[in-house]
Amino acid sequence: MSGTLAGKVAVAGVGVRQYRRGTALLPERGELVRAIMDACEDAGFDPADIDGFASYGDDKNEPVRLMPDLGIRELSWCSTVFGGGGGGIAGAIGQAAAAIVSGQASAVVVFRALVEGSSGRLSTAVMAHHLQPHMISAGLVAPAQMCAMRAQRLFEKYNVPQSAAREIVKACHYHGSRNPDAVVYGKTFSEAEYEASRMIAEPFHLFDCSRENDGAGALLLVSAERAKDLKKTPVYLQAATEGAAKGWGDLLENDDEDQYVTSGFRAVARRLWKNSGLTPADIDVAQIYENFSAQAVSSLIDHGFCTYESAGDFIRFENLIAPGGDLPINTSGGNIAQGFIHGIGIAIESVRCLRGESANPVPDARTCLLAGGPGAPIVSSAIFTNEIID
Amino acid sequence: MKPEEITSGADRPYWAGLQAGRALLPKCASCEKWHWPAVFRCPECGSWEHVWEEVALSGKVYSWTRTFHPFSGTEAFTPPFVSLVVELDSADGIRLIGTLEGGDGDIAIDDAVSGTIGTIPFSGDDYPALFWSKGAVG
Repeated sequence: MSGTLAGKVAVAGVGVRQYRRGTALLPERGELVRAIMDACEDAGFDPADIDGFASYGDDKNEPVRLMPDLGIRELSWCSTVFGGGGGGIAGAIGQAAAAIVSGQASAVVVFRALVEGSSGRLSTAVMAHHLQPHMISAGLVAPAQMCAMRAQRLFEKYNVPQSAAREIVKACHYHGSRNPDAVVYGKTFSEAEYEASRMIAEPFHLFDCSRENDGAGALLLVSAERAKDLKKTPVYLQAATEGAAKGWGDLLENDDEDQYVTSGFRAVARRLWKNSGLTPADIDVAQIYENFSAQAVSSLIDHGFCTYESAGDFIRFENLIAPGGDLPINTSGGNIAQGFIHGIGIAIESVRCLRGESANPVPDARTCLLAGGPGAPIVSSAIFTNEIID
Repeated sequence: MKPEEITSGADRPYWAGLQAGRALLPKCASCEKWHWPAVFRCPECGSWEHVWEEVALSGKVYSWTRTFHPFSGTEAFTPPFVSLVVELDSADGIRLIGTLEGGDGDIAIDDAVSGTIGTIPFSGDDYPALFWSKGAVG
C-alpha cells in the first residue's frame, strides 16, 4: 500500500548549468534562469505557466525575482526547506509534490543556484547555520570537521572499515570519468592517489570531500496526468520524506548514542519505505548525496541497504558501479566527481537515469532512490520510478 | 563579551560560568533531569526553572578530529590540532566540545581526559573555551 503521493506527480523536465568555481558566465540569478529555461525546453513547457517554486539550503533567489525573466503570469505557491545544508533537497521535491496534489500549484520548479561570486562560499553559508560559540571555541568551523567527528566514531567504535568510504569515492570517480559533463571526465583515479591526497580533517583526505562548483539546476514538476502530454517520458515521484527524529540535529554533539554515527535518516527512511510501499531490495539505482564519503556510508546503512556489520562487504566498488553492480550509486559521478551545486546534480541524475539518459546507464532500471544531504539537522529522501507502481 | 553577546539561546549561564572560571550545566529544577543543549522549558515535566550546577571537567573522549586544513576561522589554533567531543563522567554524561592541549598528540575514543577553562580569540573577541589533556584528574 503506497502513500498518498505515489505516482501522482512527475518530473517533466530537468536543466543544469555547471562551471568550475569562479567561471560562471552570468551572476547567480542569470544562471538559475538559464537552468529553469533548460528544464522547460527539456519538457516542452511554457515557462510563463510555472506557478510555484521550492528550494532548500538557504538559496538566496527569491522566486518572485525570477518572474520577470521567465514571464510568469501568476505565482501561487513557494516554499523552502529549513536548514543550511543539502539535507532538504528531496524534501523540496516532496513539498512541491504536496503543493501540486493539494491543488495549490500546478507547475513547480525545484531549484538550487550557487555562484559564489554572487552568494559567497557554500561551506560558509552552511556553517552560518551551525557556527556558534561552542564550535568556534573548539576550532570547528567547517562541515568537513563536523562530519569527520561522526566518521571517526563510525570507524573506531562500530568497526565499519574505512575502505567503505574509499570504495564510494572510487565508484563516483569511475562514473564521473565516463560522464562528459563531469569535472573528472576522462581522468583516471587510483587508490594510491586517494591515499596520498592531503589530509583535511582526520579521517578525511581531500578526495573524501566534495568540492563546490558554480552553477544552477532545476527540476520541473507537474501532475502525472499533465506530464503525459509533455515531451519527455515522465519520471514519477513514488515517495518523498523529510524530517528528524528526537535525539538528532544541532544538539552540540549530544545526539542520542544510537544516532550519533548515523546520517540522521533512520526515521526518514522508515517513512520513505512505508509511504513508497517498497523496500531496499526494490531499488535499482541510487543517488546518494556525499558531502563527505563516510556520510554516504552511513546514509546507505540508515536506508537499510546494509548494516554496520555488513557495510564492508556491501560497499565495494564492483557492487556500486553500473551496469552490473547490485546497487549502482551516483551514476553521474555524484557530488564528488560529477560536480557539486549543493546536490542538485544528483536530483537531476535521479531523473536522467530513469529516462535512460545517464552516461552510465543501468539497463531496465525502474526505481531510483535519492538520498539527500546526510548529517544535516533536517534530512530527506525520495524515490522515483519510470512507471506507476501501485 | 557579555554572555548575551555570545549566545541568543538558553545557555547564557554556561558562558557566564566559564568567564568566572566555573563549568556550570543546567538541571531541571523540578524533575532534576540534565539538559544539554540548554532548554528554556523542560520537555520531561514542563518546568521553566533550571538550576545551574558546577561540574568537574573530567570525562572520556566520545569522538575527535585532527584538522590539517587552515580553515578560515581557526586562526587561534595551529594545524594540525585536535578537536574533541568529551562525555563527562558526571551530569548524566553530557558531552562538551573543546580542543586537545598539546595539539597534535595521539588520541583515541574512550581516552580519559580532564579539562581546563581558558579563552580563544575569534573575530576580535575572546571566547571562553575548554582545553582538554589526556589523563584523569590527578
